[in-house]
Amino acid sequence: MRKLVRGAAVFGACALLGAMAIAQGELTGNDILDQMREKGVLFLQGGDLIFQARFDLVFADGTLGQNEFKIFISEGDEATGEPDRLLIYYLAPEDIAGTIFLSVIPPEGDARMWLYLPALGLVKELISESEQGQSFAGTALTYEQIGGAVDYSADYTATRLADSTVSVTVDGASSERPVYVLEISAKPGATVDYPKGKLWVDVEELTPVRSEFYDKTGRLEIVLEILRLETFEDNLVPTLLKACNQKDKTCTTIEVLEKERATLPAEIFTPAALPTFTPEAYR
Amino acid sequence: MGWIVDHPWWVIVLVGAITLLFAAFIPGIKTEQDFREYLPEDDPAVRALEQAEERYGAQIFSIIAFEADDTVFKASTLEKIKDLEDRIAEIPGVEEVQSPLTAQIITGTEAAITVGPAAPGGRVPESPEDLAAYRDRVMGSRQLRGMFVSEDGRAAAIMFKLDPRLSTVETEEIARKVEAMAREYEGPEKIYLAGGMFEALEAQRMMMRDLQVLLPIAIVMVAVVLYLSFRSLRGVVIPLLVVCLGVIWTVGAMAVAGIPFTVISIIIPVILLAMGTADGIHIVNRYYEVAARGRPKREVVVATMDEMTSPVVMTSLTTIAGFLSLLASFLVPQRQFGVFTAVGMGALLLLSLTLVPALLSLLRLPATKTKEQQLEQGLLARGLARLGSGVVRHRAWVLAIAVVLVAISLVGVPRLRLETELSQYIGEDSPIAQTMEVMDDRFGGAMQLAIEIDTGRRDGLKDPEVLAKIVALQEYLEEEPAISTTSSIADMVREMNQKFHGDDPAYYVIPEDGRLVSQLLFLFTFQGGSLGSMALGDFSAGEVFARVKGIDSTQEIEELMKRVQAYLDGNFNAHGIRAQEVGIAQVSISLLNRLVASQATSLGTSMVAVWAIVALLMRSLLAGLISLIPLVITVALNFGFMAYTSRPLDIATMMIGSIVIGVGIDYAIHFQSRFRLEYARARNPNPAQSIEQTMRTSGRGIVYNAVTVGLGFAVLVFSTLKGTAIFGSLIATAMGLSALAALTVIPALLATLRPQAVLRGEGGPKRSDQKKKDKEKRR
Repeated sequence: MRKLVRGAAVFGACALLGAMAIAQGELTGNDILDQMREKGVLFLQGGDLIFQARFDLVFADGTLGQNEFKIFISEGDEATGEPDRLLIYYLAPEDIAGTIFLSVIPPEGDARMWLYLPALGLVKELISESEQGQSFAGTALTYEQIGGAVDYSADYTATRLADSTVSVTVDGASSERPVYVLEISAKPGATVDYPKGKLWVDVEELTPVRSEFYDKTGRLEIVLEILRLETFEDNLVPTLLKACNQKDKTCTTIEVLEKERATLPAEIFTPAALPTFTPEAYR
Repeated sequence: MGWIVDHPWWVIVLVGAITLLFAAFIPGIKTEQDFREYLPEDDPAVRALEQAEERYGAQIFSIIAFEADDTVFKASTLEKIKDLEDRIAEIPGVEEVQSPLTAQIITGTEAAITVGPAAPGGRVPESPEDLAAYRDRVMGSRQLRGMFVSEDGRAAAIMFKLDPRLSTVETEEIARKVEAMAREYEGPEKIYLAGGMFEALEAQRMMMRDLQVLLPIAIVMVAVVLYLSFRSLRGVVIPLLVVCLGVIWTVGAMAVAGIPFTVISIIIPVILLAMGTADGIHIVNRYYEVAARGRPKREVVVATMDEMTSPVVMTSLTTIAGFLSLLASFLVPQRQFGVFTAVGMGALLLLSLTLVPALLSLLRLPATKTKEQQLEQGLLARGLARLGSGVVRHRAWVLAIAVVLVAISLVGVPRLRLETELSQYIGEDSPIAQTMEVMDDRFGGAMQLAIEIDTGRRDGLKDPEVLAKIVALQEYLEEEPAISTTSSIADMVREMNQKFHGDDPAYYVIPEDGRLVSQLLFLFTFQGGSLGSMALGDFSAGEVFARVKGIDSTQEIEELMKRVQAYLDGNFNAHGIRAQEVGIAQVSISLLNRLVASQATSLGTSMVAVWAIVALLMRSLLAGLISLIPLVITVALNFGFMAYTSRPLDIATMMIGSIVIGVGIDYAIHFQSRFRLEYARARNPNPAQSIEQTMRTSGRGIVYNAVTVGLGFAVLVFSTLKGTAIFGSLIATAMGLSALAALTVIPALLATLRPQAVLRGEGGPKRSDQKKKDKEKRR
């Protein structure tokens, strides 16, 4: 279930915190995956977050869609047993505006999720049979595809290939970013959608600025790219991403519209509070 | 011709080299059984299907059914299903594999709602308790019961779709792979494979089996007929060698041109064998006749060929014209069949005019007493002569009977049953037909209608009014006896509404609030639910599906679709919502409708072409017309017989008309040519005497020819494909009828009409000759 939070916060999880100073020694592929994981953890320890994002969707049939929402994230504490919390408040499209998704993830045990439908004024607990393969927040992408980037070291081993560069817009200007190129393979017994992949990991930010995932037959299926990085709290964070499924030709472009630190009370992350939740109260 | 006779080995070596060249290409020939490929790409139904595939993905699904003696809810059976499903899912090109374990199911309680695979995690339940809970879950699901598991729980189905962009070859490869995999799991459960790609695979197997069995039978049959005709080795070997080489050239040419074997073109080799011997028969026959004159070998061969080149070319051209008239057909395989049978006839003509004289020039001359002399006085010749004189005496009766028979036939023609279903062509005894029966009994049919509902506006399908219309459509469809189940986005909305309200059945309705509809659908997709082709991403359009059972003819489907379309017009199209059937059934219907137009066009074209050729060659419009009359009678009788005996007009039987015209015209040409000759030779021209002599000579040739061709076609009766067997029996009968019509109606017409009107052309007495005769009489 932790993948859910990580997935929802992909843009933040990838780089909302600045990179730690990384020793530039001869890192192996697995070392780099470990460092990426550590950086993700550091980000979640940085305090509560609110960000507003827009998803532009291209469906397999060529039609378009758009979702806009605010995400409220509160990092838990394993020592005290405080759970991770995530709340997604939908702003658009109009017919689902006001819908709220809540997830509470204890350090041990299964996560619990609820959905509030404003048209009925009812909250229902969602019971998920399997995290994998589920679309993320109504997009054509799965949690695994979006959020899996955070903890590759758990499921994959990596082989480092020759370093390269990738073009990314940084604070409005085009920049050639040095990257580690990693070929990743699922560990035996790992429950992943994609047995193989390739990551172009920004050397400085330890963020995969380009990721490719291959299906069981070795065909390229998902391409995830970071198109824009912007400075936030003295660090570069991704604010524009594009993920495309090469098989069914679906694409999701994710743009971070606003991002801010906040102090979020634990009470808002309860099912009972959902019918009265107003995002404006936490600006 | 002299050069050929002087250099026979050059000809033989050259023919051998060409044959080897074509033979080398034969292993590369492909097969094609997808009826959609039979229609031109610009056909509206094909375009609609392709557009639907672009928007919604594959429109055709395949099913693998497991049938157990007791229940499929056993770990052993479910393990097999799961294993096979996983293996199929890994095949590149396979999309959307679902089974009773992985098909999505929605469950709801007062507090919670779940959308997920029917078996938790899509895995086989292990404990008896879990297994029992799983069975209850599946059998309690509107979406799964009757669709993935039969009502009695004894059968389960894996369903999958293929990427519609796959080529026929790729599809065939997947079909083979899946079939081989599925067979590994057979026993004690029975396994059935249903769907277009498996039908095509079975058809292909039957076609190849036919080719392996029918071709040798045809060769033996033709050899027997040739032996009975000539009672000599050369009389058998030479015509047979010519047709075998012609078949190799033709099939090799098809492979070179990338033309596949279809259920139609697979019969080209048999047809060439049946018809191609005619030239050889006539040439060898004349060779014996000329040899009896006691001339040297070279002169015998040259004289034979000089005398035979013209009639052989003439009859071959008319036959080629008959087959080329199939180019007017809209059906791609018929056009291919027409062109390559014509190519084959051309090859046979070429071989008859080159290889036959080359071979004859290498052989010793036969004994001087020829079969010709024996046969001219034989029983058959005498019988035909009597028939000829009888026809002349009772010509009015003959013509009247012909008219009555044609009239009776034409009355029946509207009852002709049209058919385009591949399963019907394959036949009821095939494994595919048995599978269809199981599908009908257990899963409400393997055929699916897909109706596109296009509101033309974003989120149109979320409108409660539109959803209510869709519910009404489903209710209407389910009242049709042939429709077992339906599914649509409206089902999902109702299901979600019920589950969201603590699984209260009272909430299995479309909510009145459009926002609630949107939010329920959002919840559904948020939970990982897939609407598939039930809705486009922007909810502007989607498909409603209906499972069809118990219908096995295209005409029944067409009638059903007409009723459905009338409903759609009245309840959707009239209200600004575009609704139409877009699936494969529409392609079948389009094929059906165009069959009729195509039949008329190809018949008309072949008749005009043949009439023009005969009129030109005989320089008489009337002679051309007389040649056509027995053919028209034969075609009418054939269709009448088909109508009264419920033989379907399908892509094979609809070619009978054109073939009858192409082949049958030879009889008319031979008869009229000989009649002209006999009439011109006579000192006191008398139609009755000329007809009697014509019957004795050419009549015999016509009978031989008809018997050879008819028997050659009759071989097709042994085809494993029901459609080909029917075609074989009909065309063999038609060949006999055509000969009978030529030997009765033409003499009756010639005796009735003034012969001078017919005889003005080539081979007949000139007007000046007649004047000379008149003058002589006056003197």
